[in-house]
Amino acid sequence: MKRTLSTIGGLALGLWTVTGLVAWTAASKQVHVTFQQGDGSGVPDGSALIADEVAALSHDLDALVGSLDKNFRLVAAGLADEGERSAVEAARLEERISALERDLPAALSAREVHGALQSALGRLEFLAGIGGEATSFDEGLPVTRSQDAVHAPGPERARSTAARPEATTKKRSFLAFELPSRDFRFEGFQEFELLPGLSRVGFDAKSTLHDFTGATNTVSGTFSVDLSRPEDGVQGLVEARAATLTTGLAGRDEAMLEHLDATHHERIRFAPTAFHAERIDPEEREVQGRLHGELSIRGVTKPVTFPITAVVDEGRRLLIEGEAALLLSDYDIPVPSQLGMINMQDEIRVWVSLRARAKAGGAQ
Amino acid sequence: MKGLASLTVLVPLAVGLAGCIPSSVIAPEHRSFLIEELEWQPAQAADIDGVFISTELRGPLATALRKLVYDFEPGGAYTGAALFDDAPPHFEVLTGSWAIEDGALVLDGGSPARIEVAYDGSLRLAGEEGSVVLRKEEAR
Repeated sequence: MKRTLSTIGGLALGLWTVTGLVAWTAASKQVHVTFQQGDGSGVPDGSALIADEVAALSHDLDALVGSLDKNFRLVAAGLADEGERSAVEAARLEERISALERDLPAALSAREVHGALQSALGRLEFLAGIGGEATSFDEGLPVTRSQDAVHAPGPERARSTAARPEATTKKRSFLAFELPSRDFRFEGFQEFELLPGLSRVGFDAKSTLHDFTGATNTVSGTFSVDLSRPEDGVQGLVEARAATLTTGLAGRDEAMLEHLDATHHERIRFAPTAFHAERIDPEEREVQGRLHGELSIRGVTKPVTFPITAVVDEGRRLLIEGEAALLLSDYDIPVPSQLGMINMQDEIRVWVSLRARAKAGGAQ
Repeated sequence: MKGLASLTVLVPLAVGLAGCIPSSVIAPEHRSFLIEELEWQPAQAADIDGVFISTELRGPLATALRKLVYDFEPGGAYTGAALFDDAPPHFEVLTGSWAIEDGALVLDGGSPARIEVAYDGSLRLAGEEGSVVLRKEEAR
Protein backbone atom coordinates (compact mmCIF):
# COMPACT_ATOMS: atom_id res chain seq x y z
CA MET A 1 0.00 0.00 0.00
CA LYS A 2 2.75 2.30 1.05
CA ARG A 3 4.70 1.49 -2.13
CA THR A 4 1.58 2.12 -4.26
CA LEU A 5 1.03 5.58 -2.73
CA SER A 6 4.70 6.47 -3.35
CA THR A 7 4.37 5.43 -6.96
CA ILE A 8 1.18 7.49 -7.45
CA GLY A 9 2.81 10.53 -5.79
CA GLY A 10 5.82 10.20 -8.08
CA LEU A 11 3.65 9.95 -11.17
CA ALA A 12 1.57 12.98 -10.12
CA LEU A 13 4.68 15.05 -9.54
CA GLY A 14 6.00 14.07 -12.94
CA LEU A 15 2.65 14.91 -14.57
CA TRP A 16 2.55 18.32 -12.87
CA THR A 17 6.07 19.06 -14.06
CA VAL A 18 5.28 18.07 -17.66
CA THR A 19 2.03 20.14 -17.64
CA GLY A 20 3.95 23.15 -16.35
CA LEU A 21 6.51 22.83 -19.14
CA VAL A 22 3.79 22.56 -21.80
CA ALA A 23 1.97 25.67 -20.42
CA TRP A 24 5.17 27.66 -20.32
CA THR A 25 5.96 26.74 -23.88
CA ALA A 26 2.47 27.73 -25.09
CA ALA A 27 2.49 31.09 -23.21
CA SER A 28 5.94 31.95 -24.45
CA LYS A 29 4.62 31.73 -28.02
CA GLN A 30 1.79 34.31 -27.32
CA VAL A 31 3.71 36.96 -25.38
CA HIS A 32 6.42 39.17 -26.98
CA VAL A 33 8.33 41.50 -24.76
CA THR A 34 10.40 44.19 -26.47
CA PHE A 35 12.86 46.50 -24.76
CA GLN A 36 14.03 49.66 -26.62
CA GLN A 37 15.53 53.15 -25.88
CA GLY A 38 12.81 55.88 -25.21
CA ASP A 39 12.71 58.80 -27.80
CA GLY A 40 9.59 60.89 -26.77
CA SER A 41 7.23 59.12 -29.16
CA GLY A 42 4.95 56.31 -28.43
CA VAL A 43 4.17 55.76 -24.80
CA PRO A 44 4.61 59.09 -22.83
CA ASP A 45 7.25 59.32 -20.33
CA GLY A 46 6.03 60.33 -16.80
CA SER A 47 8.95 62.60 -16.10
CA ALA A 48 8.44 64.31 -19.42
CA LEU A 49 4.74 64.95 -18.54
CA ILE A 50 5.70 66.48 -15.24
CA ALA A 51 8.31 68.61 -16.93
CA ASP A 52 5.72 69.84 -19.45
CA GLU A 53 3.27 70.62 -16.67
CA VAL A 54 5.88 72.61 -14.79
CA ALA A 55 6.80 74.47 -17.97
CA ALA A 56 3.12 75.39 -18.61
CA LEU A 57 2.70 76.60 -15.06
CA SER A 58 5.82 78.66 -15.37
CA HIS A 59 4.51 80.20 -18.59
CA ASP A 60 1.15 81.05 -17.00
CA LEU A 61 2.89 82.52 -14.01
CA ASP A 62 4.98 84.72 -16.28
CA ALA A 63 1.83 85.87 -18.09
CA LEU A 64 0.09 86.59 -14.76
CA VAL A 65 3.01 88.58 -13.54
CA GLY A 66 3.07 90.54 -16.80
CA SER A 67 -0.67 91.23 -16.58
CA LEU A 68 -0.45 92.29 -12.94
CA ASP A 69 2.34 94.64 -13.80
CA LYS A 70 0.31 96.20 -16.58
CA ASN A 71 -2.78 96.56 -14.37
CA PHE A 72 -0.73 98.05 -11.57
CA ARG A 73 0.59 100.62 -14.04
CA LEU A 74 -2.98 101.48 -15.14
CA VAL A 75 -4.17 101.81 -11.53
CA ALA A 76 -1.24 104.00 -10.76
CA ALA A 77 -1.99 106.21 -13.76
CA GLY A 78 -5.68 106.45 -12.77
CA LEU A 79 -4.79 107.37 -9.23
CA ALA A 80 -2.48 110.02 -10.51
CA ASP A 81 -5.24 111.54 -12.71
CA GLU A 82 -7.75 111.40 -9.86
CA GLY A 83 -5.25 113.09 -7.64
CA GLU A 84 -4.85 115.90 -10.13
CA ARG A 85 -8.60 116.33 -10.46
CA SER A 86 -9.02 116.33 -6.70
CA ALA A 87 -6.34 118.94 -6.45
CA VAL A 88 -8.13 121.16 -9.00
CA GLU A 89 -11.49 120.67 -7.25
CA ALA A 90 -9.92 121.44 -3.92
CA ALA A 91 -8.45 124.61 -5.36
CA ARG A 92 -11.85 125.60 -6.75
CA LEU A 93 -13.57 124.92 -3.44
CA GLU A 94 -10.94 126.93 -1.69
CA GLU A 95 -11.56 129.87 -4.01
CA ARG A 96 -15.32 129.59 -3.48
CA ILE A 97 -14.95 129.47 0.27
CA SER A 98 -12.74 132.53 0.07
CA ALA A 99 -15.36 134.35 -2.02
CA LEU A 100 -18.12 133.37 0.41
CA GLU A 101 -16.02 134.59 3.30
CA ARG A 102 -15.59 137.90 1.47
CA ASP A 103 -19.37 138.16 0.78
CA LEU A 104 -20.49 137.04 4.21
CA PRO A 105 -20.37 140.47 5.88
CA ALA A 106 -22.40 142.03 3.04
CA ALA A 107 -24.96 139.19 3.20
CA LEU A 108 -25.33 139.59 6.94
CA SER A 109 -25.80 143.29 6.46
CA ALA A 110 -28.44 142.71 3.76
CA ARG A 111 -30.24 140.32 6.07
CA GLU A 112 -30.34 142.98 8.74
CA VAL A 113 -31.73 145.47 6.20
CA HIS A 114 -34.33 142.91 5.10
CA GLY A 115 -35.40 142.43 8.67
CA ALA A 116 -35.69 146.16 9.14
CA LEU A 117 -37.77 146.44 5.97
CA GLN A 118 -40.07 143.66 7.13
CA SER A 119 -40.53 145.45 10.38
CA ALA A 120 -41.24 148.72 8.60
CA LEU A 121 -43.72 146.92 6.35
CA GLY A 122 -45.53 145.58 9.37
CA ARG A 123 -45.74 149.08 10.83
CA LEU A 124 -47.07 150.39 7.53
CA GLU A 125 -49.74 147.70 7.48
CA PHE A 126 -50.71 148.60 11.00
CA LEU A 127 -50.85 152.30 10.15
CA ALA A 128 -52.81 151.49 7.01
CA GLY A 129 -55.47 149.79 9.10
CA ILE A 130 -55.77 152.84 11.35
CA GLY A 131 -55.75 155.22 8.37
CA GLY A 132 -58.64 153.37 6.71
CA GLU A 133 -60.82 153.88 9.76
CA ALA A 134 -59.78 157.47 10.26
CA THR A 135 -60.69 158.50 6.72
CA SER A 136 -63.89 156.53 6.45
CA PHE A 137 -65.87 159.76 6.05
CA ASP A 138 -64.46 159.95 2.53
CA GLU A 139 -66.35 156.84 1.49
CA GLY A 140 -68.83 157.46 -1.26
CA LEU A 141 -67.00 160.46 -2.62
CA PRO A 142 -65.19 160.21 -5.92
CA VAL A 143 -61.51 159.72 -5.18
CA THR A 144 -59.07 161.35 -7.54
CA ARG A 145 -55.36 161.26 -7.01
CA SER A 146 -52.47 162.56 -8.92
CA GLN A 147 -50.13 160.28 -10.78
CA ASP A 148 -47.53 160.65 -8.06
CA ALA A 149 -50.00 159.75 -5.40
CA VAL A 150 -50.92 156.58 -7.21
CA HIS A 151 -47.31 155.45 -7.40
CA ALA A 152 -46.37 156.50 -3.90
CA PRO A 153 -45.56 153.52 -1.68
CA GLY A 154 -48.63 154.17 0.42
CA PRO A 155 -50.67 151.93 2.66
CA GLU A 156 -52.70 150.43 -0.22
CA ARG A 157 -49.61 149.15 -1.95
CA ALA A 158 -48.23 147.79 1.30
CA ARG A 159 -51.50 145.97 1.97
CA SER A 160 -51.74 144.57 -1.49
CA THR A 161 -48.18 143.33 -1.42
CA ALA A 162 -48.77 141.62 1.87
CA ALA A 163 -51.96 140.04 0.51
CA ARG A 164 -50.36 138.70 -2.65
CA PRO A 165 -50.98 134.96 -2.85
CA GLU A 166 -47.73 133.05 -2.99
CA ALA A 167 -48.60 129.41 -2.48
CA THR A 168 -49.84 127.34 -5.38
CA THR A 169 -50.34 124.11 -3.52
CA LYS A 170 -53.37 122.04 -4.37
CA LYS A 171 -56.19 121.22 -2.02
CA ARG A 172 -59.21 118.99 -2.44
CA SER A 173 -62.28 121.18 -2.91
CA PHE A 174 -65.98 120.65 -2.37
CA LEU A 175 -66.14 119.86 -6.10
CA ALA A 176 -64.04 116.73 -5.39
CA PHE A 177 -61.28 118.07 -7.64
CA GLU A 178 -58.01 119.32 -6.24
CA LEU A 179 -57.73 123.06 -6.83
CA PRO A 180 -54.66 125.29 -6.50
CA SER A 181 -54.80 127.77 -3.68
CA ARG A 182 -54.07 130.72 -5.99
CA ASP A 183 -56.62 133.46 -6.63
CA PHE A 184 -56.81 136.36 -9.06
CA ARG A 185 -53.59 138.38 -9.05
CA PHE A 186 -54.03 142.15 -9.07
CA GLU A 187 -50.31 142.82 -8.99
CA GLY A 188 -47.88 142.00 -11.72
CA PHE A 189 -47.83 142.28 -15.48
CA GLN A 190 -50.45 139.94 -16.93
CA GLU A 191 -51.86 139.17 -20.34
CA PHE A 192 -55.65 139.33 -20.65
CA GLU A 193 -57.81 137.79 -23.35
CA LEU A 194 -61.20 139.23 -24.27
CA LEU A 195 -64.23 136.97 -23.87
CA PRO A 196 -66.29 137.60 -27.02
CA GLY A 197 -69.43 136.05 -25.57
CA LEU A 198 -69.39 138.55 -22.72
CA SER A 199 -68.01 141.64 -24.50
CA ARG A 200 -69.73 144.33 -26.51
CA VAL A 201 -68.72 147.58 -28.20
CA GLY A 202 -71.03 150.15 -29.73
CA PHE A 203 -71.93 153.76 -30.31
CA ASP A 204 -74.81 156.07 -29.46
CA ALA A 205 -75.89 158.49 -32.19
CA LYS A 206 -78.37 161.32 -32.36
CA SER A 207 -80.52 162.13 -35.36
CA THR A 208 -83.39 164.43 -36.12
CA LEU A 209 -86.07 161.85 -35.55
CA HIS A 210 -84.65 159.81 -32.69
CA ASP A 211 -81.47 158.54 -31.07
CA PHE A 212 -80.19 155.04 -31.61
CA THR A 213 -77.43 152.62 -30.67
CA GLY A 214 -75.30 150.45 -32.91
CA ALA A 215 -73.45 147.57 -31.27
CA THR A 216 -71.67 144.28 -31.81
CA ASN A 217 -70.32 141.50 -29.64
CA THR A 218 -67.95 140.26 -32.32
CA VAL A 219 -65.01 141.57 -30.35
CA SER A 220 -61.66 139.93 -29.85
CA GLY A 221 -58.17 140.81 -28.73
CA THR A 222 -55.61 140.66 -25.98
CA PHE A 223 -53.80 143.21 -23.89
CA SER A 224 -51.14 143.23 -21.21
CA VAL A 225 -51.06 145.42 -18.14
CA ASP A 226 -50.10 145.46 -14.47
CA LEU A 227 -53.37 146.47 -12.83
CA SER A 228 -51.55 147.72 -9.75
CA ARG A 229 -49.27 149.89 -11.90
CA PRO A 230 -51.11 150.49 -15.19
CA GLU A 231 -49.05 153.55 -15.96
CA ASP A 232 -46.02 151.30 -16.39
CA GLY A 233 -47.46 150.39 -19.75
CA VAL A 234 -50.39 148.83 -21.52
CA GLN A 235 -50.08 146.99 -24.81
CA GLY A 236 -52.46 145.08 -27.00
CA LEU A 237 -55.08 145.24 -29.68
CA VAL A 238 -58.88 145.12 -29.57
CA GLU A 239 -60.79 144.47 -32.77
CA ALA A 240 -64.46 144.52 -33.77
CA ARG A 241 -65.88 143.39 -37.09
CA ALA A 242 -67.56 146.44 -38.67
CA ALA A 243 -69.99 144.31 -40.68
CA THR A 244 -71.52 142.88 -37.51
CA LEU A 245 -72.60 146.28 -36.14
CA THR A 246 -76.36 146.46 -35.91
CA THR A 247 -78.78 149.20 -34.92
CA GLY A 248 -81.97 147.16 -34.96
CA LEU A 249 -83.23 148.51 -38.30
CA ALA A 250 -82.17 146.64 -41.43
CA GLY A 251 -82.34 149.67 -43.71
CA ARG A 252 -80.33 151.80 -41.33
CA ASP A 253 -77.74 149.03 -40.90
CA GLU A 254 -77.30 148.84 -44.66
CA ALA A 255 -76.68 152.58 -44.91
CA MET A 256 -74.34 152.50 -41.89
CA LEU A 257 -72.17 149.73 -43.32
CA GLU A 258 -72.04 151.60 -46.61
CA HIS A 259 -70.82 154.73 -44.82
CA LEU A 260 -68.26 152.70 -42.90
CA ASP A 261 -67.15 151.04 -46.13
CA ALA A 262 -67.19 147.78 -44.19
CA THR A 263 -66.42 145.78 -47.30
CA HIS A 264 -62.98 147.33 -47.63
CA HIS A 265 -62.34 148.11 -43.96
CA GLU A 266 -63.58 145.01 -42.15
CA ARG A 267 -62.05 145.73 -38.76
CA ILE A 268 -62.42 148.59 -36.33
CA ARG A 269 -59.26 148.52 -34.24
CA PHE A 270 -58.12 150.08 -31.00
CA ALA A 271 -54.49 149.84 -29.89
CA PRO A 272 -53.89 151.12 -26.35
CA THR A 273 -50.72 153.16 -25.91
CA ALA A 274 -50.82 154.54 -22.36
CA PHE A 275 -52.90 154.72 -19.22
CA HIS A 276 -53.24 157.64 -16.86
CA ALA A 277 -54.50 156.27 -13.56
CA GLU A 278 -56.85 158.29 -11.42
CA ARG A 279 -57.73 155.63 -8.89
CA ILE A 280 -56.19 152.28 -8.07
CA ASP A 281 -57.85 150.17 -5.40
CA PRO A 282 -56.20 146.77 -4.89
CA GLU A 283 -58.65 145.91 -2.13
CA GLU A 284 -61.66 146.42 -4.39
CA ARG A 285 -59.64 145.26 -7.40
CA GLU A 286 -60.64 148.34 -9.30
CA VAL A 287 -58.84 150.82 -11.54
CA GLN A 288 -60.11 154.08 -12.96
CA GLY A 289 -58.36 156.40 -15.35
CA ARG A 290 -57.93 157.51 -18.91
CA LEU A 291 -56.86 155.02 -21.54
CA HIS A 292 -55.04 156.52 -24.50
CA GLY A 293 -54.74 154.76 -27.80
CA GLU A 294 -55.09 154.75 -31.55
CA LEU A 295 -58.53 154.12 -33.02
CA SER A 296 -58.77 152.99 -36.64
CA ILE A 297 -62.09 153.26 -38.49
CA ARG A 298 -62.56 153.15 -42.24
CA GLY A 299 -58.82 153.16 -42.76
CA VAL A 300 -58.26 156.34 -40.76
CA THR A 301 -56.31 156.20 -37.49
CA LYS A 302 -56.69 158.91 -34.85
CA PRO A 303 -55.62 159.18 -31.22
CA VAL A 304 -58.47 158.82 -28.76
CA THR A 305 -58.83 158.83 -24.99
CA PHE A 306 -61.37 156.69 -23.14
CA PRO A 307 -62.18 157.41 -19.51
CA ILE A 308 -62.57 153.83 -18.24
CA THR A 309 -63.29 151.79 -15.17
CA ALA A 310 -61.83 148.30 -14.83
CA VAL A 311 -63.01 146.03 -12.05
CA VAL A 312 -62.59 142.34 -11.32
CA ASP A 313 -65.96 140.61 -11.08
CA GLU A 314 -66.97 137.57 -9.02
CA GLY A 315 -66.01 135.28 -11.88
CA ARG A 316 -62.44 136.66 -11.71
CA ARG A 317 -62.97 138.40 -15.05
CA LEU A 318 -61.87 141.94 -15.71
CA LEU A 319 -64.87 144.10 -16.65
CA ILE A 320 -63.80 147.21 -18.58
CA GLU A 321 -66.32 149.95 -19.27
CA GLY A 322 -65.78 153.35 -20.84
CA GLU A 323 -66.91 155.73 -23.51
CA ALA A 324 -65.63 158.67 -25.51
CA ALA A 325 -66.99 161.17 -28.02
CA LEU A 326 -65.67 161.34 -31.54
CA LEU A 327 -66.61 163.03 -34.79
CA LEU A 328 -67.53 160.95 -37.82
CA SER A 329 -65.90 163.55 -40.02
CA ASP A 330 -62.53 162.93 -38.30
CA TYR A 331 -62.60 159.43 -39.79
CA ASP A 332 -63.86 160.53 -43.23
CA ILE A 333 -67.24 158.93 -42.55
CA PRO A 334 -70.03 160.73 -44.43
CA VAL A 335 -72.64 162.00 -41.98
CA PRO A 336 -75.94 160.38 -42.96
CA SER A 337 -78.74 162.70 -44.09
CA GLN A 338 -82.13 161.91 -45.57
CA LEU A 339 -83.82 164.48 -47.80
CA GLY A 340 -81.81 167.18 -46.09
CA MET A 341 -84.23 167.10 -43.17
CA ILE A 342 -83.50 163.97 -41.22
CA ASN A 343 -79.90 164.46 -40.22
CA MET A 344 -77.58 162.52 -37.99
CA GLN A 345 -75.21 164.49 -35.78
CA ASP A 346 -71.52 164.39 -36.59
CA GLU A 347 -70.64 163.55 -32.98
CA ILE A 348 -71.25 160.07 -31.68
CA ARG A 349 -70.34 158.42 -28.38
CA VAL A 350 -68.32 155.25 -28.73
CA TRP A 351 -68.51 152.89 -25.75
CA VAL A 352 -66.99 149.60 -24.71
CA SER A 353 -68.12 146.96 -22.25
CA LEU A 354 -65.50 144.26 -22.29
CA ARG A 355 -64.85 141.21 -20.17
CA ALA A 356 -61.41 139.68 -20.21
CA ARG A 357 -59.75 136.79 -18.42
CA ALA A 358 -56.14 136.65 -17.32
CA LYS A 359 -54.42 134.09 -19.51
CA ALA A 360 -52.89 131.14 -17.75
CA GLY A 361 -49.15 131.49 -18.00
CA GLY A 362 -49.56 135.10 -19.12
CA ALA A 363 -48.02 136.53 -15.98
CA GLN A 364 -44.56 138.04 -16.39
CA MET B 1 -94.10 181.64 -50.32
CA LYS B 2 -94.32 178.12 -51.63
CA GLY B 3 -91.25 177.06 -49.57
CA LEU B 4 -92.79 178.51 -46.45
CA ALA B 5 -95.88 176.46 -47.10
CA SER B 6 -93.79 173.36 -47.46
CA LEU B 7 -92.05 174.07 -44.18
CA THR B 8 -95.30 174.51 -42.38
CA VAL B 9 -96.24 171.02 -43.51
CA LEU B 10 -92.90 169.23 -43.14
CA VAL B 11 -91.79 170.58 -39.77
CA PRO B 12 -94.88 169.44 -37.89
CA LEU B 13 -94.63 166.15 -39.77
CA ALA B 14 -91.04 165.65 -38.68
CA VAL B 15 -91.89 166.61 -35.11
CA GLY B 16 -94.82 164.21 -35.18
CA LEU B 17 -92.70 161.39 -36.55
CA ALA B 18 -90.05 162.03 -33.93
CA GLY B 19 -92.68 161.56 -31.31
CA CYS B 20 -93.86 158.31 -32.90
CA ILE B 21 -90.47 156.64 -33.22
CA PRO B 22 -89.08 155.68 -29.80
CA SER B 23 -85.38 156.04 -29.00
CA SER B 24 -83.48 152.80 -29.35
CA VAL B 25 -80.45 153.83 -27.31
CA ILE B 26 -79.17 151.17 -24.94
CA ALA B 27 -78.90 152.56 -21.44
CA PRO B 28 -75.34 152.53 -20.08
CA GLU B 29 -76.27 150.10 -17.33
CA HIS B 30 -77.48 147.62 -19.95
CA ARG B 31 -74.44 147.75 -22.20
CA SER B 32 -72.63 144.89 -20.53
CA PHE B 33 -73.83 141.33 -20.82
CA LEU B 34 -75.71 140.44 -17.71
CA ILE B 35 -75.05 137.11 -16.09
CA GLU B 36 -78.49 135.61 -15.58
CA GLU B 37 -79.42 135.44 -11.94
CA LEU B 38 -81.82 132.61 -11.15
CA GLU B 39 -83.94 132.10 -8.07
CA TRP B 40 -82.69 129.26 -5.94
CA GLN B 41 -84.19 126.92 -3.40
CA PRO B 42 -82.71 124.02 -1.42
CA ALA B 43 -82.22 120.94 -3.60
CA GLN B 44 -83.43 117.44 -2.86
CA ALA B 45 -81.75 114.19 -3.83
CA ALA B 46 -84.24 113.81 -6.68
CA ASP B 47 -82.94 117.03 -8.25
CA ILE B 48 -79.46 115.56 -8.57
CA ASP B 49 -79.93 113.28 -11.53
CA GLY B 50 -78.49 113.73 -15.00
CA VAL B 51 -75.74 115.60 -16.79
CA PHE B 52 -74.85 119.12 -15.65
CA ILE B 53 -72.51 121.61 -17.30
CA SER B 54 -71.17 124.75 -15.65
CA THR B 55 -72.35 128.12 -16.93
CA GLU B 56 -70.86 130.35 -14.27
CA LEU B 57 -67.90 129.94 -11.94
CA ARG B 58 -67.36 132.40 -9.12
CA GLY B 59 -64.79 132.91 -6.43
CA PRO B 60 -61.20 131.68 -6.26
CA LEU B 61 -62.08 128.49 -8.13
CA ALA B 62 -62.87 130.62 -11.20
CA THR B 63 -59.17 131.41 -11.45
CA ALA B 64 -58.29 127.75 -11.83
CA LEU B 65 -61.22 126.29 -13.76
CA ARG B 66 -62.81 126.96 -17.13
CA LYS B 67 -65.53 124.34 -17.23
CA LEU B 68 -67.06 121.58 -15.13
CA VAL B 69 -69.22 118.65 -16.17
CA TYR B 70 -70.91 116.16 -13.82
CA ASP B 71 -73.02 113.12 -14.48
CA PHE B 72 -74.95 112.21 -11.33
CA GLU B 73 -76.59 108.78 -11.25
CA PRO B 74 -79.65 108.22 -9.03
CA GLY B 75 -77.95 105.36 -7.23
CA GLY B 76 -75.34 107.66 -5.71
CA ALA B 77 -72.53 107.29 -8.25
CA TYR B 78 -71.12 110.16 -10.25
CA THR B 79 -68.40 111.03 -12.71
CA GLY B 80 -67.02 114.49 -13.36
CA ALA B 81 -64.63 116.30 -15.66
CA ALA B 82 -62.94 119.62 -14.99
CA LEU B 83 -61.19 121.76 -17.57
CA PHE B 84 -58.31 123.46 -15.79
CA ASP B 85 -57.14 126.87 -16.92
CA ASP B 86 -53.47 126.03 -17.15
CA ALA B 87 -50.92 126.59 -19.86
CA PRO B 88 -51.85 124.47 -21.72
CA PRO B 89 -55.40 123.76 -20.46
CA HIS B 90 -56.07 120.19 -19.43
CA PHE B 91 -58.94 117.96 -18.30
CA GLU B 92 -59.09 115.95 -15.12
CA VAL B 93 -61.67 113.21 -14.77
CA LEU B 94 -62.80 111.36 -11.69
CA THR B 95 -65.54 109.02 -10.52
CA GLY B 96 -66.97 108.44 -7.10
CA SER B 97 -70.07 108.59 -4.98
CA TRP B 98 -72.36 111.40 -3.92
CA ALA B 99 -74.73 111.76 -1.01
CA ILE B 100 -76.96 114.37 0.55
CA GLU B 101 -76.02 114.89 4.18
CA ASP B 102 -77.84 117.48 6.27
CA GLY B 103 -79.04 119.19 3.11
CA ALA B 104 -75.53 119.47 1.65
CA LEU B 105 -73.98 117.60 -1.25
CA VAL B 106 -70.99 115.49 -0.26
CA LEU B 107 -68.77 114.08 -2.99
CA ASP B 108 -66.60 111.12 -1.98
CA GLY B 109 -66.91 112.00 1.69
CA GLY B 110 -65.24 115.39 1.16
CA SER B 111 -66.24 118.88 2.19
CA PRO B 112 -70.01 119.43 2.09
CA ALA B 113 -71.32 121.82 -0.56
CA ARG B 114 -74.42 123.91 -0.23
CA ILE B 115 -76.67 122.80 -3.07
CA GLU B 116 -79.64 124.63 -4.53
CA VAL B 117 -81.88 124.11 -7.52
CA ALA B 118 -83.56 126.58 -9.88
CA TYR B 119 -86.87 126.28 -11.71
CA ASP B 120 -85.14 125.03 -14.87
CA GLY B 121 -83.28 122.25 -13.07
CA SER B 122 -80.00 124.14 -12.81
CA LEU B 123 -77.93 123.42 -9.73
CA ARG B 124 -75.78 125.79 -7.72
CA LEU B 125 -72.99 124.35 -5.60
CA ALA B 126 -71.23 126.60 -3.12
CA GLY B 127 -68.33 125.96 -0.82
CA GLU B 128 -65.17 127.45 0.59
CA GLU B 129 -63.55 127.92 -2.83
CA GLY B 130 -66.50 129.68 -4.50
CA SER B 131 -69.66 128.67 -6.29
CA VAL B 132 -70.67 126.96 -9.52
CA VAL B 133 -73.89 127.19 -11.51
CA LEU B 134 -74.54 123.98 -13.45
CA ARG B 135 -77.13 123.87 -16.22
CA LYS B 136 -78.94 120.58 -16.63
CA GLU B 137 -78.36 119.03 -20.03
CA GLU B 138 -80.94 116.89 -21.75
CA ALA B 139 -79.67 113.53 -22.95
CA ARG B 140 -79.63 113.31 -26.76
